[in-house]
Amino acid sequence: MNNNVQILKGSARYAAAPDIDNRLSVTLDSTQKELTEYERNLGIDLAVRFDTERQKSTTFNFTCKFTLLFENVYSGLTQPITNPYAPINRNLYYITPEAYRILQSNSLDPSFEIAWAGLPQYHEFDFIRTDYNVSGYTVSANGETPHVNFNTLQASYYNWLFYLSYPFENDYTKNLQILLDDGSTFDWTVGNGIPFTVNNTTINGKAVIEITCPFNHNLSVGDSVQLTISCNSLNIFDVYTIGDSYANNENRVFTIYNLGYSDCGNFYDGAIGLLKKVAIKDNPIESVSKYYVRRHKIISQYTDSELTRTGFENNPFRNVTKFETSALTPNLTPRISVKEGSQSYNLSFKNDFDINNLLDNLNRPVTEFYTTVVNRGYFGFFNKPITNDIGLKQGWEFNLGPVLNPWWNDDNTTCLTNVGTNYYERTSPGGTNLRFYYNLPYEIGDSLDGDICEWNNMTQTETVLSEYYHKLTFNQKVFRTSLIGTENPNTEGYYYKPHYKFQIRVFSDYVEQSDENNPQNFPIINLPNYAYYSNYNLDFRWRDIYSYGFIDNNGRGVDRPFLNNKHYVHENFTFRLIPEGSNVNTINTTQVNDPLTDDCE
Amino acid sequence: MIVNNFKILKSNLDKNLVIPINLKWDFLDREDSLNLYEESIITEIIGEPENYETAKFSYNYPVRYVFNFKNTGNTDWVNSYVDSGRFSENAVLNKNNAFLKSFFKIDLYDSQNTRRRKNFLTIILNKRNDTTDIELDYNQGIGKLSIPSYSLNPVTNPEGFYLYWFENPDILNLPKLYMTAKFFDGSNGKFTTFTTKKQTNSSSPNRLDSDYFSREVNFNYTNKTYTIQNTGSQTPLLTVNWYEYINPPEL
Repeated sequence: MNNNVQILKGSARYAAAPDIDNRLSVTLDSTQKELTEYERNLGIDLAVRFDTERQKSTTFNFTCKFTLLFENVYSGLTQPITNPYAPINRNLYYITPEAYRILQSNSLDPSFEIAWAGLPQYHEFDFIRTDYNVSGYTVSANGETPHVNFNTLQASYYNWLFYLSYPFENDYTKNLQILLDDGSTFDWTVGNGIPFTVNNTTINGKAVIEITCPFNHNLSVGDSVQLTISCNSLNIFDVYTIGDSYANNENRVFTIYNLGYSDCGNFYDGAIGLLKKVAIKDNPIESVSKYYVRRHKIISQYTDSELTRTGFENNPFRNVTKFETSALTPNLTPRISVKEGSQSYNLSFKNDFDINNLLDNLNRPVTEFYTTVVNRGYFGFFNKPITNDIGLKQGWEFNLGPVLNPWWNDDNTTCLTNVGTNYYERTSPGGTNLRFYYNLPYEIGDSLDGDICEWNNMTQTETVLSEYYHKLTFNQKVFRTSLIGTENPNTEGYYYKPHYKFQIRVFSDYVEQSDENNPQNFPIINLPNYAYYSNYNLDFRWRDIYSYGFIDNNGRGVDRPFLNNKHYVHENFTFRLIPEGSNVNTINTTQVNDPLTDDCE
Repeated sequence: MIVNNFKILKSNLDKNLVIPINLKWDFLDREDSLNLYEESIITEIIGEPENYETAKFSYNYPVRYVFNFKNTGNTDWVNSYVDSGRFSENAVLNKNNAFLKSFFKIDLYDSQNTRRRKNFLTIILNKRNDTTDIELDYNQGIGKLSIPSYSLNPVTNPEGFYLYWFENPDILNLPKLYMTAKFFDGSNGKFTTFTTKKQTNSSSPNRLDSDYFSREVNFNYTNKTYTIQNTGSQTPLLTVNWYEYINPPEL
């Protein structure tokens, strides 16, 4: 190497030469070359490719089967009583027609017609109307305009409309009402918790405070609960037992061990308050549950739904029909009338749905979709508007029977849905002008209420506490069911559940936790943006979303067919039209409810 | 820096100065790029998943197919099995085997060119045809005489009303289909072709244009509906008339 370098001190070079700093430049040459990987092999495995495409796909096709359960129970008289509106009066399922034949025959005027008591035929409740050729009612008679000029293409849209929806926001300010045992009512705002009443009692000789809720409290033994009733500033108590001596009360009744709380004077029998579940007693601020009404957004037009009859399935009950002989009809025309049917239906949607970027009511990726069923009632038996052109009423499971609840009274405008109405007019033979109201359809982007739910940040769980219902009431100006006295502002009607769930994904059974202060112990990997940060624990919490096709040991998960680059989701639903008086939800029962008035109506 | 106070003394030996330099090359996430490239190659080789599903397409209105046979009594066409001499009145009323085994067949092709076209859909019209009232012999009252006409709608006669076609228009990329009609006669095993207009309307009845033999069927892939219209027309037909093709024409 030619590195013979002499380094001299400056003053050693020549006389008077100064000493200066010397620098030695060392050049660094670095040459790197990556190892060339000439081949990259990949096995294209059908199962792997299928799973890759399945996890990537965000397109869904929803179908379901509805079993329609209905008992036709409310009879009435077509209005006006004399010379009633003929298309309805002549097409009822008559009750005691012999008596009405005698009454009508007593008139000297052969053209005189009275209102015959009867039930609206099953066609008014069926998913697909089949009364396409009823003279005077759906087709013209003697050149006169029929009640409704039947359009076969609209047959599945006359009575009910079907949509697809998903929960997209929460309403914490919804005003609700319960009916108390003494007949009074209690109003509260859903965000404030669950109402309850207090009863001091004993269990095995031990004094307890028994708390009864109108709907599911979602509490277990060992949980804590925050009450609006306190004792010496103490308002968080442990749950001692669940349920009482009656059947089916586990979800509605619990007790607190009475450590002298009743001596405070606030826990007296009949005291009313509100409660909230506390998941972690040491951290009540963050672990207290939130209560809200889930709101749904409509994402399909009603015309996107496609309803067909099932080929081979009927519900367990039979068709109820009868032959109305000519002598026992107002217009002396024989026909067959239908009281109840047994047909089941398949519902599909014309278009597929892309769930990409859709967030649910808790700002998580959407995991549930719903078929939403809303009454239309185009033939005008129901939905006379109360105020703001709205006639369809809404409530929750605890507002249903067995006693007719004042929540449904026409005076209570908070029970109204946001479904608008329209009407058309027809004239009775006596010249009375009748308005037939029907509900307007929802459009894409419209929203409607849903179930009452509870969310807890610590457990990362949403629980449905009380299901959402609609109520149909008859338009008493057209078809009078309350026959005695003045028109009843709180008439009987039929309840139905509008939302039916499609589960497309599930959240994990476990709660993931991070520790931000000690990331080396629990690094944050794939932290979802919906994770909850606890200031108390200094960590994030969330539940993972299981991948498509994965089902854990507890059976949680969905495994839907995947084909044509989309997921096929199918569910079987039972659609029940529940009349007034259902006692299935009755608390304090010691025996199986009378099957004549259970929810099978 | 105090740590750098070192002396290099001259000597006749080569000296090496070792300077430790930490070189770290960042190949992080390069695998992701390779995976993306890999995915694109796989897609290129085996293709993207396609939607081959068929959807139910509905007509926008109740539709009526009316088949007119050549009248035996004059040069016009008539919507009747009896007046056209196809079947006797008794055969139609009593639905004898030859009548029952006869049927109308609607074919949908991709082209009007009879040599190159492919048949994509077929509708066999069922036996729920329209009827006309007829006075029965021996004072038996009014009977229902079947006529070669079919009123299709979703409630009373849905079979044949819907077309089941690809919901993805890119699968075949056919903007429209062409509809033709035939009658298969159970009494003699022969079939009869139908025209969209009476042959007498043509200036060259011996050599009819292709639009005499087919109509257009257009699909609306958004609303999942279809329409039938005459070639070149934009108006959906509510009544689809067909006329028996006579060759050679009787003029």
